[in-house]
Amino acid sequence: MDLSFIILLAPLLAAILVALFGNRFGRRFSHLVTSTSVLIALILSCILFSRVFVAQQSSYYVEMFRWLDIGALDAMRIRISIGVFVGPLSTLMMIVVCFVSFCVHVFSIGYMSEDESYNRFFCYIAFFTFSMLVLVAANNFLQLFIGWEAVGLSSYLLIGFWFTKQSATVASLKAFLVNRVSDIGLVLGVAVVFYCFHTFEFAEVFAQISAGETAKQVNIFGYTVSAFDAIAILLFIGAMGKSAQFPLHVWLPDSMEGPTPISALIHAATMVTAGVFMVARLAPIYELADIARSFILVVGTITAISMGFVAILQYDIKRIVAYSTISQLGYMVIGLGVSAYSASIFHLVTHAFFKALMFLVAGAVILALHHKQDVKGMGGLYKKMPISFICSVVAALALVGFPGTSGFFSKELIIEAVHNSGGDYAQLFYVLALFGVLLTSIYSFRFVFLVFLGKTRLSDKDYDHVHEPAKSVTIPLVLLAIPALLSGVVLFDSLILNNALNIGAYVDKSNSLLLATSEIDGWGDMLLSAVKHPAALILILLGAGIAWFITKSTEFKQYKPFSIQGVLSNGYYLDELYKIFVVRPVHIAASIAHKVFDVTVIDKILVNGIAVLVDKSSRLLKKSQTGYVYHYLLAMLVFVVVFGWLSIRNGVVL
Amino acid sequence: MIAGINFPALSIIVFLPIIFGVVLCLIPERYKNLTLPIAIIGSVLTLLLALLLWSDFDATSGALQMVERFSWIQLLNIEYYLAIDGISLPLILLTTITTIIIIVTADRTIEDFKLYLALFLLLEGILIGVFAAQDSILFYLFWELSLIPLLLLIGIWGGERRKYAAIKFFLYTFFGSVLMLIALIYLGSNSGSFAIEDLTIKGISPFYQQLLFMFFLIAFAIKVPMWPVHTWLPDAHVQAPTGGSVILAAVMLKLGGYGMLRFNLPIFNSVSADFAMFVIVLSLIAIVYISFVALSQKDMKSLIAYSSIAHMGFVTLGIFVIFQFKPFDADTAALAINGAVFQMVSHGLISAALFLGVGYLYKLTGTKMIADFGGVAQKAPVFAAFFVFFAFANVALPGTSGFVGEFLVIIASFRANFLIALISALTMVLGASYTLFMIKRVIFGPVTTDAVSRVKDICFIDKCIYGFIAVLVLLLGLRPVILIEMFQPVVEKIIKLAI
Repeated sequence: MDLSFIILLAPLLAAILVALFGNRFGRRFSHLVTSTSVLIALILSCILFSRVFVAQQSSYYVEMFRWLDIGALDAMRIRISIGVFVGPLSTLMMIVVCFVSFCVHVFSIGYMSEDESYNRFFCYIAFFTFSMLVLVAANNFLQLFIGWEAVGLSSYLLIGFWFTKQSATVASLKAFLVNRVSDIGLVLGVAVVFYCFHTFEFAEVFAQISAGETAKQVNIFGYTVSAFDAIAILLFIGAMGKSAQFPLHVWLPDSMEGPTPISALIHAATMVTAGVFMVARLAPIYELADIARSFILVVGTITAISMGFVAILQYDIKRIVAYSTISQLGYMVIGLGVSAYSASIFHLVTHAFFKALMFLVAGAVILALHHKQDVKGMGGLYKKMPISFICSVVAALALVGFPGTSGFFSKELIIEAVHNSGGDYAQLFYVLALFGVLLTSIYSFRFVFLVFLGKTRLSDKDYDHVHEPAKSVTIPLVLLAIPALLSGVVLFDSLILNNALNIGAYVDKSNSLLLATSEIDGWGDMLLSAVKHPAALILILLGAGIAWFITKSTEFKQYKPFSIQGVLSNGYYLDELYKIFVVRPVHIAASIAHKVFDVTVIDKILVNGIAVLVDKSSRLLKKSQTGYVYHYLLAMLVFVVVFGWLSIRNGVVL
Repeated sequence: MIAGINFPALSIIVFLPIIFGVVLCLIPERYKNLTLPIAIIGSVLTLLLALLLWSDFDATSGALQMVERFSWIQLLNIEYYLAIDGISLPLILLTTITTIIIIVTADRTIEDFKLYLALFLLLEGILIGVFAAQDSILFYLFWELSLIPLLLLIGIWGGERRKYAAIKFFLYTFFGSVLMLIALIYLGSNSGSFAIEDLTIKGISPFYQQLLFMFFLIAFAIKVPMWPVHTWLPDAHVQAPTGGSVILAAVMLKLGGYGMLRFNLPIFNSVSADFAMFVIVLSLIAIVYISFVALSQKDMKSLIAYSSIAHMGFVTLGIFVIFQFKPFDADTAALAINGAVFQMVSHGLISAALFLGVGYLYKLTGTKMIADFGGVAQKAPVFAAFFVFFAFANVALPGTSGFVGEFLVIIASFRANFLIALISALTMVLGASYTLFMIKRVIFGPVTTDAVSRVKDICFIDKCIYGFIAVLVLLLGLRPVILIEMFQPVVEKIIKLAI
């Protein structure tokens, strides 16, 4: 058995064990088994990572079992297998997933300690970890899709974890359905891939592309379009749901109904980045799809900016972080749109650390305040919760991209790549991306100021009772704070300059990321450039100032529904628009379909109508049974004549 | 035949359950506690026999196997001709598994328990007969016979409107069968033999070819059921007792798709191509429109019934979409038809489990209206876990068997047309909507109603049954190759004949 199998199977086994025996052996058993399994997976991922990423050994794929195997000719067989692809990108993702998952496991031991369904929770997050690993280890579209939907299922189960709460079940349903809408794109994308390449394997598709199969075309709605654009856009629609891109992001803020640790793990660090991962994994396809990349750039920019605005006006501690996550996902997508795949993955990795940290800080605060989430009732917590406070500052600095922190390297690279992308409107997108930095800075510092600084808005009695939660809660914070600060410095050289992900092998010389880093020799250079081109730094400081200014007043006004603030704080009323234009028409159509068509037209008129007709005509026929022989004779005669005539006309010899 | 079986295995597997059924009827009243053990022995023996068939079956061959062929009515050249291939065997296995499930989970408190079980055993034998018959008249005989036990099941143990539902069910399907009989006789006399493999349309004028094709199509479409001849199904399901619903959804609906693969495709090759677009459109209507109808259902059973119609749309779509391929590709066609056949087996398992679940709730609460429930997960966590699992299988979550068929058909139908692929892919949202709406209202939420307070968790035997189905659903979802290996040679043969 290959080492990589254990990475996948350990969390699965743990989830099964907890599902079967969790209630018998108790809580200790549940969290020990699951955390250990994730730790094992983490250690093994690190071993594989050091082989293929650090030592640059060649990637390989190990098949676990065959899923499908059909075809007439042996050369053209359609084979799909489930297995593990061990490459730089997939092992990097495995480490991120396992590391954040491990921190979240430990954090949850404290955070969920008072919950009745403790065992179920650990079963779910171990299963989620397994699903996510299946996704990142995929070497074909089928396994990708299996993992993709399995994380969707885990997300559904965890958002609806407190299933007696109506709002939680609604949010989980919404998350699943919105994701399913985008999955239509994913499945159709796979269909086009299969039509064009006759395979589901990534490697075979890439091989055909490098062999020169770059001019394929397909027919969509009667228009002949480039197959690569079609595939890229369809698959990206799939990514838009999972990675919460405008306008399919609406499920993510609501997903905050789930327990906070899973918001950190699933809805910030790992699952929501699956779309970004997929596009980067399929970079060779996206490199041939110019129209699709323009589309991606536009979607990413809209998401990053519009959700940044919304984040500024939120008062629910988790919703601030949620909208911030969407906005940062927008940045990753922007990177994809300008072919800076490594930069997007870089931002994905650093974001996983600092955003998970931010969420867990929020979780610690929520726990300390006995499940209060409104920042209007917080403030001044830095004295009572110093570790959480320091961690929140680290997270915020990384989030805004303060020079030196992890977020600085990754975000700056994306922005610089946009600057060098050379498209028609490159400068416009560059300005917008920079503007996003200002928004990020405002909401991030606003978060820190409202929660930890200033005078407390808690009552004296409540404030006195606030204290830093148990060790199992604070240790993961510290564990995450380290990479949130340092992962940028550590990864920059290998990931970007040495192109350890090997994505650039498919990318030409005029690549935006290559141009952006052409004059940079190491992470020190990158730091220096922040001083030389201080635009972003100025925006960060300006944002901090604005945040200080808007949080100075402790009076919180109710926004008018149709004022600018009202529209923004309600997320542009997208939920309401969906309700009016999608949900309600569907329900009306459903009841019309049922009542008018099925029940009335088909059943009442046609089916029962025929029954009535048969009944009536049989009464009529009864009248023909007169009992007079000559009536019957006449009828027989008529029948023979007509039938005979018809037969002769049709050439039938009786 | 490889080895081992040198007795008329197929005749035995057809008549063993029938004999057990008759024996059950004859048990005197004072030995009535022997009823259930005898029924279980009968169904288990049948399953073992089916497994024996499987072990002796050569999956690499598309030819008919375990052949038993004797002249029966010499004058008309009708034969007693039983044999199986890679498509009938899985359906026979499905039949035997379903029957065991029904018998083990049957509600012992109902009236005439003896007769109830006996009818299921009779039905089992008859249905195996349909799948094994290779003479068209024998096929028709079993086909017609299968109506009677179900008619009685609905008519005797059904709900309030059982008479209406039973008569509607009977007339609808009987209408189709009559057309099929006419077509069979015509084809048989044209071909000089009633063996299905010998039936041919050579020498028949194009108009009559089309007419005969339509006769078959109507007969099978009613059984599938396809839109717009589907309205008997929701009524039949809602009124039928749990076991009746299970066998109806799990096996009887499959007769339609099976018939199309046995008759329409191989015999009417070019005619099938003429009507392909027509069938595709009806299938798409079933997938989309019926899903909408399902969304507005208030009764769980009728919701699952409509869901069945929508899911069976993939069977008919997968079968007929191959004629629209531009350009034709044998591998993609194999993908489509394999997907269709896989969907039949998978839907059998999933819908059986869902109907069992609803039946269980109905037994405890006396209601199956969605509005009467909420918070079942609190009262019956194990049951809820299974029910949610099967619901997600119904939603075609990858990793469950429900995914395989729909995925393969959607992927393949892009070769015909982007629009067909797009419309069929809508099922991903629609199927999830109606299924998860039901889950949300029934399983989750707080306990608010009297009905739910009467719910308790499932017993050990039920856990085993649900667990067994769940394992099958997962196994087929993760290793569909197990079944598809068996289908593939037959599917290839059908495609060669059809194109």
